Amino acid sequence: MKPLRLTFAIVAVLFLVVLAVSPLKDYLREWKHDQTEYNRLVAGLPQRVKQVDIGIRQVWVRKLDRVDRCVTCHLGVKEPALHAAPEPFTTHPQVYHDVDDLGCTFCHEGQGSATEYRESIGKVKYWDRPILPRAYLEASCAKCHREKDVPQAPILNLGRKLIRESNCVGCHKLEGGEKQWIPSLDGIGEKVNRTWLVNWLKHPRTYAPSTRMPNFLLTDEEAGTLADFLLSFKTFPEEAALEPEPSQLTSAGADQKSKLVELGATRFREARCISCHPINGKGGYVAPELGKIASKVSAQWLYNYIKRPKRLQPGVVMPRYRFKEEDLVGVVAYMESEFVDYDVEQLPPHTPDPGFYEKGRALFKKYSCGGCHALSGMGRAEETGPELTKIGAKRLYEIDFGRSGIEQTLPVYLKTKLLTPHVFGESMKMPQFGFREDEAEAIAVALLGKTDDNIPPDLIVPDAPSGTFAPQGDFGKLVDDLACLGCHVMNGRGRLVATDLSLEASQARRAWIEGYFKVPYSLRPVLTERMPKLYLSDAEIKTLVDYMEMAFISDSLDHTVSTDPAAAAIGRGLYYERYGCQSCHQVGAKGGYVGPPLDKAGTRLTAGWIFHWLKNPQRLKPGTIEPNNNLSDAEADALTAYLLTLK
Amino acid sequence: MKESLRALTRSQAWRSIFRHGLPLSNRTRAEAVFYNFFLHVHPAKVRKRSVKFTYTWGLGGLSAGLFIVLVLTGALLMLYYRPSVQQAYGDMKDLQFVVSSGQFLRNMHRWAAHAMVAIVFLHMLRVFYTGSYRPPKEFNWVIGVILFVFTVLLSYTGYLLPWDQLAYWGISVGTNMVRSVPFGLGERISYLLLGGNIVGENALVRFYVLHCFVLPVAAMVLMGIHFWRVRKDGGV
Amino acid sequence: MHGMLNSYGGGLMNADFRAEKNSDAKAVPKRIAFMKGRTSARVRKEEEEMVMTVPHLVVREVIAFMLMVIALALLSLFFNAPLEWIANPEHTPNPAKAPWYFLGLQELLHYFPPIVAGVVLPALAVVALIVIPYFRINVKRENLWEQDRRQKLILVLAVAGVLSIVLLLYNVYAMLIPTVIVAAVMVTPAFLRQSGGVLGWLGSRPLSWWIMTWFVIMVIVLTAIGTLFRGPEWSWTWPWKEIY
Repeated sequence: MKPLRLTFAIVAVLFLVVLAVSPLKDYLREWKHDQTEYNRLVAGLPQRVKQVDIGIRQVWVRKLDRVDRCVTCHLGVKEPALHAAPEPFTTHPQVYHDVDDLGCTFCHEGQGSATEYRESIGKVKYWDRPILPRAYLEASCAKCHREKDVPQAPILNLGRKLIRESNCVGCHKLEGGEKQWIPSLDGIGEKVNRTWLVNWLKHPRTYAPSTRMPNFLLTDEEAGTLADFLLSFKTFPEEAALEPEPSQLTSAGADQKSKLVELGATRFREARCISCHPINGKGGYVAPELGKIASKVSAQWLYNYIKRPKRLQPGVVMPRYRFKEEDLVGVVAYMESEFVDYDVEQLPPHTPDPGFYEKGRALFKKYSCGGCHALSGMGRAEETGPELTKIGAKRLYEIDFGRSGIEQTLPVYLKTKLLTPHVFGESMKMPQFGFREDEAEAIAVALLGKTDDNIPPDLIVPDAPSGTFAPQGDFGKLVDDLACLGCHVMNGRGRLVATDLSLEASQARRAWIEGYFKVPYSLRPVLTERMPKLYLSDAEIKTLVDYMEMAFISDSLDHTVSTDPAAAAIGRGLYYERYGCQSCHQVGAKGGYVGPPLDKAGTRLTAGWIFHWLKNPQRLKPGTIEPNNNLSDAEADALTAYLLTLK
Repeated sequence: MKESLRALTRSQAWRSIFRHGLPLSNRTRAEAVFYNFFLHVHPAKVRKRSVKFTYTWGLGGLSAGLFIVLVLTGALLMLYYRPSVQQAYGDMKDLQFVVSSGQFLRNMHRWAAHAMVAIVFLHMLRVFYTGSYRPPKEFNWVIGVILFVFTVLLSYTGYLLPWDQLAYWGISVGTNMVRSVPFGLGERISYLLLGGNIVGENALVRFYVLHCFVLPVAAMVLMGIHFWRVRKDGGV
Repeated sequence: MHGMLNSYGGGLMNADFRAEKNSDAKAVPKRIAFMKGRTSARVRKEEEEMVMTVPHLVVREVIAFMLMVIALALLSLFFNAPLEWIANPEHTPNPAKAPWYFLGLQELLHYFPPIVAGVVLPALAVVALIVIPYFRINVKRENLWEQDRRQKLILVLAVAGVLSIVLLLYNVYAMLIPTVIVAAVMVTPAFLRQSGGVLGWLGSRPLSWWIMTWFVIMVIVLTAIGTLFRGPEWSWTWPWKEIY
């Protein structure tokens, strides 16, 4: 054979072989192997599970414009018999949404179009939305669920709460969190001392472990300059001037003073300040720590502030107590003597450097203090940090990981940034909030849900609009002055620390409410946030209750029952025998602790409320654990009659 | 065996298609060239030294071969590709993950395209260094240069179609270069090319049409002339 | 009358007339022979060995084509065509690179104003390529430095010098160094005249050969630098360093 012919023959054979073999590569695809495995698996099961035809399977979600081929290998997603099967064949744990309805990647992320494992989880270089780690999965709930409390998403809810409370919107553009109220800094020069301020700026949590103020990791020099700058602001909002410190505080003798302190201690207790304020970490959580307040603020400021809080700090959620002058001075004297920080080392006397104002102003701007705090002449800084409205869609190639050396994924980046912002570079302005690891993860979850996905409007679960309830007249003035909405909700507005008052007059009897204002006892002994005693006058109480009877009432809750003792006796039987109410409620110091005691139910509650509550508790208080026993009207009438006898 | 083959070549059907017998004698071999549309670009006889591989390094022939490969794979790829911003990238993924041998086709098209740019350039160098552009082949050299430019343009217009970052910014950089043509001409050319001021939906469609129709057809016509001239000027 | 005869290295053998004998088709591509009436002209061409196109040429072509397809198929089986992230007009990659065959131009853009790098130079290159066959300077196949050595040397050195200064002004070392090397190699035979060997071969290269060689080296060097050695901000980056 001639060499040319031989070459031709060899090359021709090779050519045919290569062209024949190349398409064979398709037969070696993973998913084909997986599907064969699946068929073998289900053949061996005791239950009858249908085998699959070999071929690519996909979920096409038209409304989301997604095609997810995950089900090519995840064949047992909807097959309960496979709950113990190994991945990828196992059943989907508790499906909140149907996989045919939303597909897979809408919640899990990853690359839906892929039919190979590594590609599908998206941990390949050129896919920018890799699969969400399990700990961050609730992020996807946030895509549609805009409501405050998303069912079965505790991490997301925590994250959103922390975002609100940490006032992230002070610096970042981010929907879903209106700016929180933060103290204005006007007049701070007349309020605090320099030692406290410098220490505070450097380590806010040393003074108040639960404060929202983050640590900006300032140098000693920066903290000093900023403090000097801030202390130069001695004018309160709207030119309010401090009343002079009462003479009893300054010139009282030791004996007189200890009496004053004793009186103050009593009033401090009665007023239940610790319902809102923690003292050395114990007590309420809605207001600032008071344990070391005497080392922070001047007695003069404290006196003025308790007297009329909103005058010095407009917008503050602090009720104006109707203390008598003597009581007020006592409270101040008590706080001054009791809440002292004995560990603090006073800074030496100090004259500000020349140019401190300009330097301090620059620092104030650099760290965007104005994002949270108002300070006259500085304006309110708006969103100096990066926009976060679509942070969940941030691509890895847009992130500068610097020398952090962390795992290069978006969730880990966000978490690390929240825990230790400075690992991404010394010049980062983001302060350290001192979040716990789980808190940082929760915030990352809430942020990861802010993607650029096109969500069809019908899928969105909107947030309930916040109420616009704004009572007018005397009642309105009182609500503002007493900061009722700081703890109570009225017609959808306010903060739910205590109870929703929107139906109060349908629920409680007038006499009881009036008595409660005078001596607010505790309905449940376990509560820490108890109603403070505000020392209201009778006229003020009348104003409040009159308004409640007019506005916080619903005709649909009217109901009358007979006062016949026979009916009450039947009710008593139902209470103890039929429904065993005593297992949760106390009457006469006997019974369980789960529900509130019912000893004085007849004094406190109206017949209508009891009746409707018994018929359907969740209608009146969504989420209550009181069971709905499906009582007949007759039974409910009898039980109501019985409960009304408890006085 | 041989007999039945011979009978086949004598049948009317065979004759109507090939018009000659098996190329076993010099006469039938010559006829094989004369009567075949495709082989007709060649003379019936060629000089022995021009058959040697190192005479031309086969670069022109390989360029033509690559063009054939590109047309075939390109036509198959067109079945799955839609030139729209919404779908182009997804179609790439579908080719990769779902279409049988889709990735293989795309790989083949891509590598053949790169190879063609390089081989056409090498072909040009070979022609220069062997002096084969000299009269009377001056004009064929000019056609060759234009064909080289077309090759680059074909590759470049195809570069945008996957609609990934590589494509988008590769084309943006290129069209920004065009913008620097003076007298406002650059702006106009780039506007004409992109169908707008940015690389977007219109640019994708225009590049698609250029890549799949205008440039290949023009290149084919020029290739026809190029081969014909080679033959007329006494080449292989 | 026989008009023009293409020459294949043969000459006119009859002694009845004078004819220049020159076997170099490049030096004398067309020629005219005058013949007296009684003499019949006979052109004797050196017989070249011919082969049939089928199968000698066609089989070779088919082998080459098949080998090429085999190579492509193997390449395609093991190396996937690149596909990056979906296009994102809001994020420019750093560096944003054109396809490799334009990276020589993009590299030029780094040195020269856009109008020069993006328009003038490529246009010049294409025009120069087109006019090559019509460009008859020094088609004579004789030593470049045989005649007018001084003049040519001055001319070549002046052009190379001006070019080098321009390149130096723009800090284009990537072009300067190859330019200087090519110029140096080009003029070396002018000083060390040899008829054989490498120097003799170099000395016999025509001017167009030098220009083309310089151009090809430029294209290769610039494309290689643009493709392999350019990172963020178009700064010098070693190819083994990950950019992203």
